[in-house]
Amino acid sequence: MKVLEFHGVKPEDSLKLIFDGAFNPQAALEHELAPLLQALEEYAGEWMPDVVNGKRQRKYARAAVWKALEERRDGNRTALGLYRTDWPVLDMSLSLWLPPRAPGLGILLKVKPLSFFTEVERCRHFVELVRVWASRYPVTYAMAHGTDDRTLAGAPNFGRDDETEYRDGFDKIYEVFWLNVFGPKLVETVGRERMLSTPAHRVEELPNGSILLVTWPTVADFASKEARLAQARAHAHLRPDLDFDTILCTLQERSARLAPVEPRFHPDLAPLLSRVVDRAASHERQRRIAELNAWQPPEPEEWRPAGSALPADVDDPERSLEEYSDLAEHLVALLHSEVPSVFEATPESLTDADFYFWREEFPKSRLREAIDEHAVPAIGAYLGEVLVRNLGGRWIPRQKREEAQVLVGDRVWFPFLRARNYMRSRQALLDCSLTWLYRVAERHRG
Amino acid sequence: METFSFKSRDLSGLKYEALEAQMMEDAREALRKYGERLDIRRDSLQRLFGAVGEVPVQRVRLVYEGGALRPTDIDDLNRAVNTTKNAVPGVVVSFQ
Repeated sequence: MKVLEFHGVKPEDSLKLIFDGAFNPQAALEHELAPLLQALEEYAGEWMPDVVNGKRQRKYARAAVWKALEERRDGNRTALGLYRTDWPVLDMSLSLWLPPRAPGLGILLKVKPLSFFTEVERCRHFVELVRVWASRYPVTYAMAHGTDDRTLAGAPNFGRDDETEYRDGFDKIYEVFWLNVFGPKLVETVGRERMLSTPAHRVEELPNGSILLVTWPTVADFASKEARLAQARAHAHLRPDLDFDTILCTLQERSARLAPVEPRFHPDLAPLLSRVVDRAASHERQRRIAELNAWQPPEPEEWRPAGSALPADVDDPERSLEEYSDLAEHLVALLHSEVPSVFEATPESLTDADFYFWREEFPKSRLREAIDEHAVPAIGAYLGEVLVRNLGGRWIPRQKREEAQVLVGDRVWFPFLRARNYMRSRQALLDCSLTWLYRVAERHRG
Repeated sequence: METFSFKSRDLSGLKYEALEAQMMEDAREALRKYGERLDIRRDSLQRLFGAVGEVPVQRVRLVYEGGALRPTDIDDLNRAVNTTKNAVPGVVVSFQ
């Protein structure tokens, strides 16, 4: 049973449900939780979990759920994971607080991609599932919405510090999401009648006094003009102290930040920049693409016309070449387990190294002394070796390492100088990438 | 007195339940190793605290390495931190 990775795939928005409820600790656990699984089996449909993760993984079955809850029990708490082996990807957790603590039932559920919930019927089933759960296990608050938009909304802090958020939780209507279940206390903050008269796709009072509110029939198009209008109307109704136009404007700004942006990266750097973008959190992805679309790498400065090359000034050029080769090997030794392509010493290896240093935030995360004394010489020598091997370059050794050059066509390049500029900061890794210098050198090969 | 437990652990690819379980395990370990009372053996610290041998620990801080190792979903991260706080009182979780 190979469970699908949730974070390993391309960053993409997902549907997130957060459900914090209670259960009856007097009843036998299997009896008490049977309706929860019954509803899941009835309504989940194509996103139904097929794997239960306790201390080990088992195929989904109720017996597997009981077994997992039992084996994972640790004092007054137990939890399990529910996953899928097939698309769409599911990351679901069920956790229980047990006596002597106040009983609590927590569900965190994410289904990826969000676009899976484009159909009205599929969304209706999801709402039904939450309605059944919230009717059976009284909640203080539950919500379902696009994960990225929830993050942009500032959840769960909504402008408060961590301590305050921890202490107060969702104690007033900070935000209205696609699906909301407000427990009796939250209903009180607004007034039951007022809440029941909210303009929304669905407003329903549950038998335990909670109110279910769904703003729009489908969740995948939450960012559309119409869905945002519905969301703003509901929010303004529940929070008469807030201004409708301000709410709507905030939502529209969030939609703009999440609107897909087509990558139009500099062609020489597209292989590097696509990987940089893939590391961005999903809610920041589009903004990052737009930034990198607009960004142009500065022309490399670490070169001279071949006619003004500094002449070799070492007594034993062979020994210098050996030294450069040894230093380049240091880089291979440093990177080979994380970047196996460094063995190849090709332009692609340079891109892999660029990405590695960027991902690791190398200039910031390693000691500056170690960078200057070990990394910079190794990177410079390696860059020089790649120019020699792939572009027919020739080393011109110098006593001062930063003056060492590689002649390629009508230019000489200063690879050690480039490495120093490159390691200045994380942004410098992009501005002064090894990939970019190589591509420019390639064009001037003649 | 406060004690610190630093962890360089890649939490970025974990599913939510695994993240929560890992954090609670680290918090319990930190509390076991560095919590409640600490036996002071180092001379310089003994001069500071007196020759009492053991001093009470008010708070254990579990500090994870940030950057690429930190989960990108701050909302989930916050939930896991709050759950850990509930389950293992006395340990404060943060990211560097």
